[in-house]
Amino acid sequence: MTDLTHTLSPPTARDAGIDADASSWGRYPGYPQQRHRLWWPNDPLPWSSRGGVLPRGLGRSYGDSCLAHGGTLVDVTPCARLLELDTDAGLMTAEAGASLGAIAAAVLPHGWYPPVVPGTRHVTLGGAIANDIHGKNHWSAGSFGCHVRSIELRRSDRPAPVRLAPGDPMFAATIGGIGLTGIIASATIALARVPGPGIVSRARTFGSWDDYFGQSEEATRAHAHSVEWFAPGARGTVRGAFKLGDPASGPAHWNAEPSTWGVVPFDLPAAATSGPAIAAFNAVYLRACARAARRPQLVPVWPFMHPLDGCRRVNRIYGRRGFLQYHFVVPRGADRTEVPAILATIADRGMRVFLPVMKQFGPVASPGLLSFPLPGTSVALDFPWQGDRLFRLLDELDARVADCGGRVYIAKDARMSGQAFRRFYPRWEELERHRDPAIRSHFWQRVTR
Amino acid sequence: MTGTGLRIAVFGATSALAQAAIRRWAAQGASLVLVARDAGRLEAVAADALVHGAAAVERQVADFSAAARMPDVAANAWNVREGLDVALLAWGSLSDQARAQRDVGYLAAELEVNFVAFACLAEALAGRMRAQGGGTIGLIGSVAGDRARAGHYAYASAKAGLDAYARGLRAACRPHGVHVVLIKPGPTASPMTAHLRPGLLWGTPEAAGDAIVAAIAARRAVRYVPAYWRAIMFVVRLLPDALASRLKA
Repeated sequence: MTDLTHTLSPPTARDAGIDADASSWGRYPGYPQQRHRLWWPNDPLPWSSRGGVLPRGLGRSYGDSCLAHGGTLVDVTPCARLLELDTDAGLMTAEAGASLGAIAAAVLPHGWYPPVVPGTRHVTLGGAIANDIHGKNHWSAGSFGCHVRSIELRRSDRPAPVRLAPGDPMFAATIGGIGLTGIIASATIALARVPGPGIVSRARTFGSWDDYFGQSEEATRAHAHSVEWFAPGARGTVRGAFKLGDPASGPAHWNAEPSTWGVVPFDLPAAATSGPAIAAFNAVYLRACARAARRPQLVPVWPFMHPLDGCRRVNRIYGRRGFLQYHFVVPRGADRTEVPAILATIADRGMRVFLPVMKQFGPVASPGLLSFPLPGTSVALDFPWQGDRLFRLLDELDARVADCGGRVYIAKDARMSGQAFRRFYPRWEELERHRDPAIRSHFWQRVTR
Repeated sequence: MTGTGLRIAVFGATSALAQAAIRRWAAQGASLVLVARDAGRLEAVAADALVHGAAAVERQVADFSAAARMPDVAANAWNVREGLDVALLAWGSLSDQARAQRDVGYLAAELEVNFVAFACLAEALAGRMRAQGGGTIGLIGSVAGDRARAGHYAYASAKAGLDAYARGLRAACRPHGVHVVLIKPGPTASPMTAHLRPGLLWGTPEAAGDAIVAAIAARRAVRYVPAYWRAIMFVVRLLPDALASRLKA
């Protein structure tokens, strides 16, 4: 069988939405992408492809860290086999293209769950490692990389796959290594024990920043999962809700991966994310959270962990221009003043922000070289396309985040400057030394060249 | 009919469509016999089925290129659990039409693997299922079999032959409680089609897996995958030859 590849995505950001498969989740920026599907983990790889290769999973990275730089994407999603489950020790070995959703569905009936899951179940095991993802349980569990026991990595300069274990320098470079150290064939992770497919869900509201920081430490420590939805108001006001969860047992039919209930069928017009529409949505969502606050509720684990997965192609609400997510973390101590100040700046500039989310990151250190989480407050903000004004503002915010020792999440980034990147991730040169010479991403070229 | 407790054999178990169906049957708790040519790949597919919840998985290595061996292939799969409730025949080779036109040995081999071996294995299994008093045989055909065109008639004619064979076998088996389900996928992203440029109407192995499992559970006679191919091929079959032969392949 020949290994021809083909262009899937047209060249401009505006048109990238025609094939959502080969654009990133934020759909900005868009570049032509060649795709090579990897059907078996040991199939030949197009290492000598002009422009290099880049491993690619389900494309849930928002910016250009999942886009090739004129080269070829190696789509590993067909390599999704679950190879071994040790139900006593709680260890799962799977191919890199297996989704965390598929892993969760296979292990839940045995009383296990992936140790860390992000807001969507549609991420691959390889992507979870490469971005060292975090979840609502960062306080107690740390990031995904803390639970990886071994990685089998294919490199262009090695004839056979390399087996990596914690402690190896190449292992540390691969955790959070945004796919640059090689193509992950398979990996073994340690699962988390759960009583069943249920979550006891609670909510608590807050009405000011002091209120938020006053409650946050206790709320985060007392519950396994915590995430905070909030609406920043004018003049530094804020209101929001903690959504807290603790694993619980539940009926067996909650084990199965739920089907979706809808799809955004086409790109919505800009009015869908206009200021009033966003304010209305944020208000309705917060009211729903506040209503839930009254008493603890037993809910299925799937929608609790992945509230947006019910609707497919939800990124289309931002229209064809796509959107930017700004996801940053401010270290504990500085967060009490800097997080409110940054949000006040955004409000002062009249920028529209959709679905703002906060999380408290805990002290568990990741083995990864370029890991994002550090102890402090993490904030994720979705910005519909707002032109150059937005880019200038985010550059300004980058400097403030770096000044207080924080950083911005690579998996969400489409625009940070090389200078900002090097301040956020001072160990980047170590990753560059471990990079496979045949692997290149648009992000890496942008921030290191 | 769900897969719980069913004895299911899949021939050509490492094909992309077969893997998707196997995963679903495994999650339903079926007992599987997986038959394929490549032992290494078969091991990965079998491991995946076990983790997804299969009650038991038996691996058998076999080559589908020689029709004369099909009675043995059927017997080996049958004997694992003294019978089979469901058999899926899912291997395939997308013949190189240009080569088939100049290399008669290749043409004969392609027709054998894509049609003769299918018919022989289906017949061997049907005989056993009739004696057993029931069962379902799923055959992976193709929309290509509905209308042969210049670009791929070696492959299409084999699938057309399979279509006719399935029809006859279905009629012969029905009185004995044995069902024959012909699945006709449109072009699907898979290793078999990796050298082709995907178009708008292409399906995914995952959707095909859902459709295969559902069609076999419902004992459908013919299932197009995705379902819109039924309408497309209805129109394509109505085209007069004089017009159809001018369409690009």
